[in-house]
Amino acid sequence: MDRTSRTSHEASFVPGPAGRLFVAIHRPVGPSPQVGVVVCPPVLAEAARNYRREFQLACALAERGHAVARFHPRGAGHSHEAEGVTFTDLVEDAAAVADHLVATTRVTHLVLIGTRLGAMVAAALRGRRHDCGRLVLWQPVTGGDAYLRELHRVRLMTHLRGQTRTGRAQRLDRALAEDHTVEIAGHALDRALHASIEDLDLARLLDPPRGDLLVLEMNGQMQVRSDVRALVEAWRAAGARASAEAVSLDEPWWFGASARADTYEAPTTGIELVARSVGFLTEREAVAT
Amino acid sequence: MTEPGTWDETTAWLPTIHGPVLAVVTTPRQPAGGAVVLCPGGWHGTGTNRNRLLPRLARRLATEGRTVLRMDWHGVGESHGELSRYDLATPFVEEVGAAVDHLAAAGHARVTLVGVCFGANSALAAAPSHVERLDGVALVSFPVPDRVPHREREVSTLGMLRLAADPALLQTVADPSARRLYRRKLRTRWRRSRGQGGGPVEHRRPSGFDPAAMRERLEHLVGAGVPTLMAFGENDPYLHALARHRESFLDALVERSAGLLVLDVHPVDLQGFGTLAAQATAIEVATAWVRTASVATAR
Repeated sequence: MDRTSRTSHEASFVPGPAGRLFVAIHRPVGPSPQVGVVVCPPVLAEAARNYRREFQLACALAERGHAVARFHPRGAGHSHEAEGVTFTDLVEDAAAVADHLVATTRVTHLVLIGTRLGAMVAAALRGRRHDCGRLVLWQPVTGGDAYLRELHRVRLMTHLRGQTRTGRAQRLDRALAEDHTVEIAGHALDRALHASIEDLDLARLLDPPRGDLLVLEMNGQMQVRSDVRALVEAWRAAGARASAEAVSLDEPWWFGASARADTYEAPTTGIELVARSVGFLTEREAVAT
Repeated sequence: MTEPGTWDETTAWLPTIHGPVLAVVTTPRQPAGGAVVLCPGGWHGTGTNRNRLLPRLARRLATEGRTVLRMDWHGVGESHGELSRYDLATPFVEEVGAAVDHLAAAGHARVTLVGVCFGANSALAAAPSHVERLDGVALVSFPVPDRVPHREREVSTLGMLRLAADPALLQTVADPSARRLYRRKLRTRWRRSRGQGGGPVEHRRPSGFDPAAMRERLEHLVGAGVPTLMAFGENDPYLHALARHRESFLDALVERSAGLLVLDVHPVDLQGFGTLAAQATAIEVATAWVRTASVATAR
């Protein structure tokens, strides 16, 4: 228990749909929380980059009376190993964690938060459950094909940096036609995950609009992407509450600190990102700016 | 991939001055050896390291009968406390000690310390305080302290021009972080071509992260009979510094140690474990050393 903030933080392995999942639960000490928050993490290198922000968000929400579950999906982090993980598997893991949170804390309402591909996982989970209210998406992947193009660019950049010496980088789909996995900056992208996300579309996953939606874009230009704006407009047109905002957090997802110094920075924390998310999730009336 | 049926995993909180630090303990179903503490590197958001290097290593060691503890440093992953930067002059000695104490309380009187990158620096700094409990120490991609230029690992200018002509690479220009990287590379090349520097960057050596401390610690381990491995990749930027230390004292210490201190250089770029090949090598090297060290200590 954190004595200064009157919250508790537990980390354990819980049974998942396929092997045990590493799950961290943050909750207030005292009256039972009514709202539970499930944090759906990004995948591959982006998961580590976002980790501490999710931790800080969970601590802040627990201080305000919410129960929060964070987790490592199968085959990631401390969770049990798995091969051929698909997008559906990621959603099933998130669903299992949501069930675990409800069972252990008796919360009556759920809120979902997702980052990057985890935003799509959160959107898909929302479509499966009727106890989910507000939804917060951090720098969401809006299209599976666009995300895979980003990963392809990362792969090309590692070639330029001389980190891989395997000749010219093929397109991901061509490389995956030859091998089960393709290497992206020291991470393995599996053929099954590639195939399961290439046709995903966030707008479709979020249809029909329901509840309150906040999208937070993380970039130095403080801009909201046009497809995110269109998504928010569609929600508003359907009568739902939705907003998209930009926070100044200009940190690359894949390339971090220099490897060549005696000191190097820990991944940046997102104070503004966390503050806006907490504000949205704890206010009585949802924002609709 | 290791078989989950051969080990179990539990979590524990290690008490430190920064607050509770998360440890994950992998326990073999059929114990057949000692215990191991894994000390993570510092560039990644959690103690799992890149592409879950340390969970994979822990489970591999557990399949050989070892109990393995890995942890998130304070302010990292699940651990409490604040951390804004990793400073090699300030290794996390107390946390390594807390891990050794935790295993001792669980009945493991002796442990092997395995550290990677920043974790290797912390493992070596902590080791002299625990020599009587150590079966061995493995320092993988240990950041050798010195004031030397880093080795240039990038592709040549000609190679870069060739890459730039690749239509596939042009796609990356759409990415702002790629554009920033390219601008920086071009600026560096331009300055270098004009004789305005931009060459290999010199380390600033802060006090506390110095060759004398490294020498003292290694001599202490050899003197106490603790098998110690220093493993590097052939492209690691520390090799220049290592070469100097070999000349000045390391080769003599290796000889004097009669096999207790081993220096290994492997044909990969271990630093940062930026490739799957580097990760596989690190797992193989550490596993083999733990095996060797436990046999040597048993004798």
